[in-house]
Amino acid sequence: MAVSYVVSAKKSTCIVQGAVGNFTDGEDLNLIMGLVNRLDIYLVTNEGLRIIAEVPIFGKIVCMKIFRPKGEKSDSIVILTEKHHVAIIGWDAEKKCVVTRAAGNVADRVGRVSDHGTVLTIHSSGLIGIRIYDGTFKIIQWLVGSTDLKCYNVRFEDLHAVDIAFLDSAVDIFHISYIVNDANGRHLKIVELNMIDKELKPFSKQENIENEASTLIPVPSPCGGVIVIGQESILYKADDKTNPAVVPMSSPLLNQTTFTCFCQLDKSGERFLLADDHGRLLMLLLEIVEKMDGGASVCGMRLEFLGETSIAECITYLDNGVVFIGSRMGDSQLIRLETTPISSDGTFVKILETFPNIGPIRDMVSVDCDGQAQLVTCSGAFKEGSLRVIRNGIGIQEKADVDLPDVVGMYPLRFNSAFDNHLLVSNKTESHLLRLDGEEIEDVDLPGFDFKKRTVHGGGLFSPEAAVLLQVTQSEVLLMRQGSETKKWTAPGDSPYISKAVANNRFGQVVVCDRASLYYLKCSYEEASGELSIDLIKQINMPNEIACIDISNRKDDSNSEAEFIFVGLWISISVVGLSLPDLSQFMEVDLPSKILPRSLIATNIEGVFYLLVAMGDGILLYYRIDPTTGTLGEVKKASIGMRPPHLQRVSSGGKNHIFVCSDRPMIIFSSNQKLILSNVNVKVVHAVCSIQSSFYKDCLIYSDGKSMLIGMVDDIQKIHIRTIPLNESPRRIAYQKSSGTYAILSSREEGPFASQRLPASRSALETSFSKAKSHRTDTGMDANQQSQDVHSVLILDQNNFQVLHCHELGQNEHPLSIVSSTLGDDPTTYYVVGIALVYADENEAKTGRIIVFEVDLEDRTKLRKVHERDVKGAPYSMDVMNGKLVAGINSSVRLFEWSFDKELKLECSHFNNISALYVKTKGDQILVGDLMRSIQLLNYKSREGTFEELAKDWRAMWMMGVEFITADHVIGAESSGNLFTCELDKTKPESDGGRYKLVPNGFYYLGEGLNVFRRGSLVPMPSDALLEYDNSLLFGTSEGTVGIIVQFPAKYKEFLEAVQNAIAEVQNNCMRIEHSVYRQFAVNKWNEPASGFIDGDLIESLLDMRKEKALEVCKKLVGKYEGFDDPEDIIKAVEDLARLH
Amino acid sequence: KCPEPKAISSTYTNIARRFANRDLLKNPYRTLSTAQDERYVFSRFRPVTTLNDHEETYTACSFSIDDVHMIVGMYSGDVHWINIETQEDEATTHAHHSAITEVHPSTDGSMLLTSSAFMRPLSALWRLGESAELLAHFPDDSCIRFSNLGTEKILGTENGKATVYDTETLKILNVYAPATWKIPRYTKNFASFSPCDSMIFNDGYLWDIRSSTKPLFMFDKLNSTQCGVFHPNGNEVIINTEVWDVRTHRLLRSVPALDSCRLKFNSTGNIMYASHLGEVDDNSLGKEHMTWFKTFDTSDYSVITTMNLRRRVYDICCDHSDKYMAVIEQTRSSANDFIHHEDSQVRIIEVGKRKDAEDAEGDEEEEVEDGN
Repeated sequence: MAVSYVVSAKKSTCIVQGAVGNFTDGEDLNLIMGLVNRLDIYLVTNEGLRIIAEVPIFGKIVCMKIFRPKGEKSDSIVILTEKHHVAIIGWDAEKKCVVTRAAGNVADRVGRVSDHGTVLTIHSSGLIGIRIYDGTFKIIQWLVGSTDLKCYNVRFEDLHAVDIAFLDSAVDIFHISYIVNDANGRHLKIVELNMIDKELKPFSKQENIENEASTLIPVPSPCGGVIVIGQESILYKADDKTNPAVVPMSSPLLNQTTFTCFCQLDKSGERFLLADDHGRLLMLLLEIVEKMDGGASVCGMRLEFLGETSIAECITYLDNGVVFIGSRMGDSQLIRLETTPISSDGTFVKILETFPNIGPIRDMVSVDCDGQAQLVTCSGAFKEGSLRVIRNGIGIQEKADVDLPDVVGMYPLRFNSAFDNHLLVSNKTESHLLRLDGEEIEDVDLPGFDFKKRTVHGGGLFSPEAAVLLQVTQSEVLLMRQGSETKKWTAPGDSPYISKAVANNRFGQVVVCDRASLYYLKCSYEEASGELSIDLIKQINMPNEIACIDISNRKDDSNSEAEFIFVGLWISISVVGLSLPDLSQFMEVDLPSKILPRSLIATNIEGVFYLLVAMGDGILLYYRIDPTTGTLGEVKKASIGMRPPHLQRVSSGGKNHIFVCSDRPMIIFSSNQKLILSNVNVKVVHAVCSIQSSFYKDCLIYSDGKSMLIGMVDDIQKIHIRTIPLNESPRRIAYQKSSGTYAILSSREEGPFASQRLPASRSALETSFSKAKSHRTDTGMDANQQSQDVHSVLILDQNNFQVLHCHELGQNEHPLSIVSSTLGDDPTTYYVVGIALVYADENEAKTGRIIVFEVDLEDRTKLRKVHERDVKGAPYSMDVMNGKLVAGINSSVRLFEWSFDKELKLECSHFNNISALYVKTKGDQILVGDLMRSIQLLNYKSREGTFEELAKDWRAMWMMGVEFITADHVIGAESSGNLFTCELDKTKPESDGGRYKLVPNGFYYLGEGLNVFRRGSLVPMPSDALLEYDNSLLFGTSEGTVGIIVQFPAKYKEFLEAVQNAIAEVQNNCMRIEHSVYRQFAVNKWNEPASGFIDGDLIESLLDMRKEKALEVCKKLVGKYEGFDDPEDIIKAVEDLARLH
Repeated sequence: KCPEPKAISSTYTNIARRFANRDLLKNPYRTLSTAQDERYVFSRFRPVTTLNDHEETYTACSFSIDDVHMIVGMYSGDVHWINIETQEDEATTHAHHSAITEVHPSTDGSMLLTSSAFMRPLSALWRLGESAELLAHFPDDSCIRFSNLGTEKILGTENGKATVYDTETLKILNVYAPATWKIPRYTKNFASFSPCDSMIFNDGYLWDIRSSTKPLFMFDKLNSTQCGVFHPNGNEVIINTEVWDVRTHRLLRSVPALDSCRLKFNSTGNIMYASHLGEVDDNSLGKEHMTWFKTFDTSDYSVITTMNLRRRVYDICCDHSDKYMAVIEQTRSSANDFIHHEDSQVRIIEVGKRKDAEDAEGDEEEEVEDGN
């Protein structure tokens, strides 16, 4: 039985919790971001935010709050997870890591989980209150120093508390305010917690507050009291029995406003920031009067509009007007609140930094783009809606281009300047010298250079001040300097032909190759006399002609003298290492290939010395090597393109990398002492060099054969994400190769709250409309809404993502599904869109329609409606099987045939679902995910033209997605954040009708809301993978994780489980729970131990450990599994796993 | 006019719209959206099969723990195992000498409890294997139940007295009965464990399982028949039409529709079935009355749907994976001066599907209609 390996390729970026405090030290200001299952701890510095630690949490974080334990100088964090584990976390300043100070579980056996969500509130004394279940409030009393959490329940008089907050009162008085929801409306109550009787005693109340009042903001002393936030009004109530001041407030800024979060701006509590679900940032100011007795009271409130930000999920005020806006729907932001408006529309918000977020991923499509997989996701919603193009690789941002074709070599020169100001460029027959003058690039002529020949190597020698230039052409070596006599050196022989040359520019060491002869030259320059000279130090003949050469030293540092050269040879297909200056051979290796080596580099990355050899067939071989002894490690292979590649050292962001010039350009870098080959998002590169000019700083110049381009490399990251803002909510996406377009189902909000940003559907080049056929007026409650959703089908260009066409749907038409496919024998590729007619007074869609669109290939702004047919319900999901359309429509699965006259004809139906939400096809099989009835497999019998129920899973599972792993091994995601797999057991039919059972064989708690499964992968399996896998799937979640699930054959199962368990044992685990408890499948009260799945994120954490610790973990496993006899083998295997993404 | 509050997408009434928006929701809205979906599922019922044995009268039913079998009790005191899929009668045990009133399989599926109407022994414990093996008789207990978190205890009810037995040794662990009866007892009294087995509710009295000397509380007696049950979430007891808070002992709400109903809960406890049960030997009720079952949302005790059955109901039960529920309904009664004979059938009803949901073109599963 294969085992599923689950790993996140792109970890969640949705920020759900944020806090600021002095966590790492009493002096440090820290920003702590709570993401789905980790904490990111930042240090706030003058330069910006600096990440200090990324702390994995075993669980989905529901609440996170920061507080100051009694008598301590720094803050601690309390975390509550979805499975009701609580931990108090502090910082160990010595070890520089987090420590769990106390932990426990606060789940109750009985109780109804509140509809108003889990609330965690902390009293200024450090007393923690948690409400999970209706009517009970859990008090956690944590004594600093104790590792256990003591807790007890107190009862609320009222069952349904909307929000609960401790008030800031005197040390021994615990006042709790809460909003009650009962049949008569909502009321504010303040109760006093009696710590001895463990009871809540009524203190004061304010009846009939606003019906939508939802949030409580406690006001700090000396005012005290609480602010109640509603949709239409804000209210302040003092925490004082004698003078129960109530200050109401309404404002034109409040109009059906749903506030999402708040934060206190200053310690005195006079100002608060509020953010609503439209991304408006408001400031609430309290007017405070001081009382005779030294106290203070609130006498009024004001609300001011500050500006627009991302839709905030949490706001935290850092310092000096800088605010962090954590967002779930869009990118998070670091903003500064200016004292004066920065634009005419009165906004005070200046965006300092943006933190990209690809969640929530509602749909995605995997597209093969120039031989490399790219993923396009529907991310975010409302004004934050966007498409994100995800590629595994590195981006180059183009800055300029120079029209110069066929360039094969480029060499930057420094000529009396601290920057590269010239560039020696060569094509196959001649050379050019370009001057970089600011932004301008011009062709110049300098005496001494030979421009009529191809340049094999060039450079400025010694130092920029010396201004000595070197040009190696195919026939001679030229050394020149203004004011000095140009020196030439020619290889001896009748027809010298210099094929390769390398140099250490700083020390004037030049090595040239003439067929099988190797010449080591030393250039020198006498400053006093200005005399140049070239001396031949040593010459040897190699047994075969030289194919490639590299010069280097132990540190691969161009500022130190070169110590050795490596030479790749023809015929023998080998690499020889020669030490300088005597050219004595210290190593030789036969390459495991029959193809000629084309390019090689010997380099030191992250302290590890590598020999990389690129072969003519596009295979990269690499070894770890000890350059002093010449001992080689094991060879590793990677595919780097289809044509002969060329390796080139480049630098970017102060780090050295290797650039692979080929038809699949790559950058090779190292992370955790592991080589990573990362694709670069340009099509083809013939030659490349890095350049550091006064204008183009830290740039690369590369040639694609047609022209030379100057670009900047994005920060080295494994996953490259490009954002295409849509400013509306994309829901479904499909890709059509034939027309080069994407189609998106999207909706925008129209009404008084609409954002200033232009929604994509309004920017379309062409538009068309459809009207619902039945002109039924909607009398439901949605008609009262001030804002209206407008749904549309958008056609976008695949390259520039311009909206070519927008087809706007009628008022009650809700598009639910889309596929792109050919149908029947018709050669045209169509977009098929499934639409439900939704009326608010019905509890399900009774009718819907399927529309077939065709994009005009000549003028792609034209979208033609080819066919439209009504269906009896909502087409939740569609897929194509052998040219026939499969649709899940309400409770049925239906198969439509594309007839000769281009119409969809119903062929057969199957009615055994509650709601067939997800359909996927493979061969003749259809996998159906039901609203509640888990999954079932249908078989299409083409001869009879009917569906047959092949197998089903009998459990009640509320599905969120399904996918085939193989034809009889399927995976499903259910609504409590769990994954499960089932296998078709064909050994025994369950009934006489030949129906089989889907046997559950995998259980796993993912802890995220999975929205989409796609077959495919981000990177192809490396040819030298230690552990082979297959059937790769991708998934996207509401929390913004892009994950991969691959299947490892059964023989690795035990090994992988052992590795997982060994790491789980030592992994620093904040929640102090077992990994198995964390990953345990849990739905309501049904628990099932995790099985059949391997937690890839945990396994890969081995690579983040200190090497000694990692080895120690692996030692325990040595010898038990075949092929893993050394701890290093296990680490290698894990490194291999990490290459999945 | 007051401004309308802005709707949150989880509150959309239309399931297609909820489906389109649920991927954006976070908790608690996601849970609320699922709760709405659950209401939707439990608003739709479709009868699929009828079990009918014209020589016998069905009086009690329960699904086996794996939901493969229907365990039915007969008027004759027999208990039958009927495969739901094939409708084959796979096993029979003559359990009692009078009509079976209750059958309860244990949660691990290894044991079964049966109770009967009037001939002693009234109740029995069986071990399930190839065939049912009698483990013990509880002669005087009219009704017995397993504890909720395991099968180690059995709670028996004898009139107003609740007895807790150890399942292994069958020893009496404790007896819970008030010292003196102040008011008439409920006519239909079934003692029950609280969901976490820490309390016992019997005849209006709430007991702490650790102390049999004094009840914790006695709820006001507002009816004379229905003694009430615990809500599976553990914080409420439902006594006829009244819902009480177990902790504060306060009346939470009154639900007139629950009057004289038997209550069953689905697997999550969020949905409650209620039906007014007729007695096999009771002719007092006219046929036209109370021939329905309703589903309730237990978060607010609102009626989700009413399923009219046209016939009197003897028992209702629901399975463990929320796929089916079943009712025993009266088909015909024949009476002469000497013998009163009732005939009944078990109607298995599928949850989440509607009769009219299918097209005529693909109506594969034939609707089973009754004989007369």
